[in-house]
Amino acid sequence: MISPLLLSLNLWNLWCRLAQIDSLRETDDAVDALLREISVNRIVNAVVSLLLAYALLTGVQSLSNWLSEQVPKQFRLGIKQSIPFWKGIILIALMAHILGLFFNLSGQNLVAITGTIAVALGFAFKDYATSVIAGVVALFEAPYRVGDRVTIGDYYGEVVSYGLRGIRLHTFDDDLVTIPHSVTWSDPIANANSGSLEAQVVTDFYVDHEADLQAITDILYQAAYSSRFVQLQLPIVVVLAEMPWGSHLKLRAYPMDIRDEPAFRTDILRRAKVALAEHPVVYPRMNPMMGLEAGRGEG
Amino acid sequence: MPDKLRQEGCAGRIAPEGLHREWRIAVVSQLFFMVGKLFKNVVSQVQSGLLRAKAASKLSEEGLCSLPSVWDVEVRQRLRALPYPDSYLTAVADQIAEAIAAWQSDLDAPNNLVLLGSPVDNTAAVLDAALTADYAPELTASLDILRPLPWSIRPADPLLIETQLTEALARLQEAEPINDDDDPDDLARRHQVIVLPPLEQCYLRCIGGWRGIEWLRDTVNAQQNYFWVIPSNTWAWAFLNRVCQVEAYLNYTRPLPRLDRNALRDWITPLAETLGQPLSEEDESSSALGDVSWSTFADLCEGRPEVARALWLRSLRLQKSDRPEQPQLPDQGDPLPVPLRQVQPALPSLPDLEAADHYVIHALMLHGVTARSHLALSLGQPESIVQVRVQMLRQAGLLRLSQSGLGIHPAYYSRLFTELETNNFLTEENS
Repeated sequence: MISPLLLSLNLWNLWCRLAQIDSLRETDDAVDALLREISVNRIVNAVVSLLLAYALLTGVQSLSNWLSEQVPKQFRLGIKQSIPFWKGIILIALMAHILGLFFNLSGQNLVAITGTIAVALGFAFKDYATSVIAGVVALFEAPYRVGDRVTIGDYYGEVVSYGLRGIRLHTFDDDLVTIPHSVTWSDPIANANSGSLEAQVVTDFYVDHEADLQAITDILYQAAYSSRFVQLQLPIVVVLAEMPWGSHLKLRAYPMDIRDEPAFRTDILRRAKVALAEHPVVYPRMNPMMGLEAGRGEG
Repeated sequence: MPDKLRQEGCAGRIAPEGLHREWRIAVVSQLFFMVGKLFKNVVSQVQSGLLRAKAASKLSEEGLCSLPSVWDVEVRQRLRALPYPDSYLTAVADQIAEAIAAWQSDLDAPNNLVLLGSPVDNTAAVLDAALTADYAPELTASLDILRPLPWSIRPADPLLIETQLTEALARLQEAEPINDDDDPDDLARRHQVIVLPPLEQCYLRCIGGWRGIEWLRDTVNAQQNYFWVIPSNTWAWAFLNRVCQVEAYLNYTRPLPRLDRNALRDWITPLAETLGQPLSEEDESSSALGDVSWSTFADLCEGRPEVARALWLRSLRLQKSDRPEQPQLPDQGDPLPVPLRQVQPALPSLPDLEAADHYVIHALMLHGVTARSHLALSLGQPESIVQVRVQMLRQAGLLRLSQSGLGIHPAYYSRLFTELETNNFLTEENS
């Protein structure tokens, strides 16, 4: 005779098994409810959408770059800076469309999908995801924008492209340097113009302690004012620093277009050198590099 | 970049957090400024397009052709010889007379008048014409009007202008030596007026190139017994204000007057009527001259006589059937052998300009008519390089070469002004 206790245990076991089967059925139903039926039409639609989005992204980049070089300088940076916005719109529209094609996007499903994606990204594409998120944050914080002159690490150049994962810098040496957005989390970013057309350019001059600083300063001011590149609406300043080997003069001025920075500096140096050659200017007798570490304190 | 940082001359490469809000405001204001500029630019283009469309619908060019070059040159010379309108010169003479009257009656009144015109205005010629017995009879009768510098175009060595100015003043003072017993505050001693060459011809944008202006700036205030009439173009004035703060010393400025529609019509119509053969009665209904919108014309040339001359010349046409195969020059003062037609004057379009072209044009705006060697010195480039750009611009019609040097073609002034302003250059208005 079966004891009531054993019977009870068997019934409990049976109930649990039935509950497990129900749970599996519910999971299958849930998966069925999450995924839509995959058909050839949907796959073709998705592929065409991807191609279209790629074409649009390329088109927006090319059109903006072309247009920004055609319009007057004052509008150039405005057009360039709009590129990430248009790219973002295209990517968001594409993602919404693709997800809509293959998933039932109810609130519950959305949570499940984003959770799954987050886990997948967390394991497989951690660095990529970090850069993408940093890129979105950088859109709002704007440590750099397309057209800005920035220094990141050892690289200084113009931001010519703002991608999903990183930016591209065009350096004076004509190199194209790709830098991930994730550097904004940890590295300092020096932005020379921050959205404006002008940025300060510092030109260094070195003279001996015995040199006539008043005359030299006057020549430096005139060299800056007479340069065809200079932005006359912004201040021009000459500052002086004392070094053990001589005096270090810094001419701070703004070119009308930051792209002219090397030409501007060269023009100032050339004009100043020609004028200084006619004056009894005494140049430092020591190698300035020897004293750079020792010298401090701008006057 | 916030002006505060710039003023201190220490624009930091890493923005402190505390400045974020200021930066945002600066960016937003910059955005609004750019949108405003863009809007102004678009409106200007649309306006110009509408004017052209309106003009085209009103005065059809169908069956018309441009003047043969021989006649074009002839008409240009007659236009150039056309004296300024009386009302224009009278207005200039009145401005000068008013300033001199104040100087003669008040010890503290400014002893200078800077007459400002555009880079395409011939301010020296306007002054010469206005300071005659016809327009300023009292001034010419009661005052000594002196022109101590014999040139109106920059001398070959612009670095010697300061010396020339010093010597010229010394010569004047030698001619009328000051007696130590004379009262320096005696208003009766104020009877000498010095008319200088245009200010844009008294400097060059190079190191040491504006020493003459600095000398002038300091001397004018020290020489209260002379009244100084100084013509200048507005671009040069804006530049000199930046580099040597001339306006702080020469603070009495007046713009050249502008011609309104009636003044323009009264000025040009008499010449137009004598240029060609009269139209037949059948043609009279399509006589272009009567159909020209003078108010539109006045808007286009902004009341500037030199621009008006250039635009009006470009609007002259011939009936295709009237165009001879070998046009002959008419005798002095005779009309052309065929009737002239006219389409509505319009501003010419600009060709595509490179950054290097902008610098050449800006230099010519700052210096007015300039020799090629001076242009190269101002730009800091070898003449051979400058010459390439100059040739391109001349072929496009933007520059014209005269005996005095290179200058901006007046017909393109308005468009070039907008072009340079939107490309971040210092112009007359944003100074």
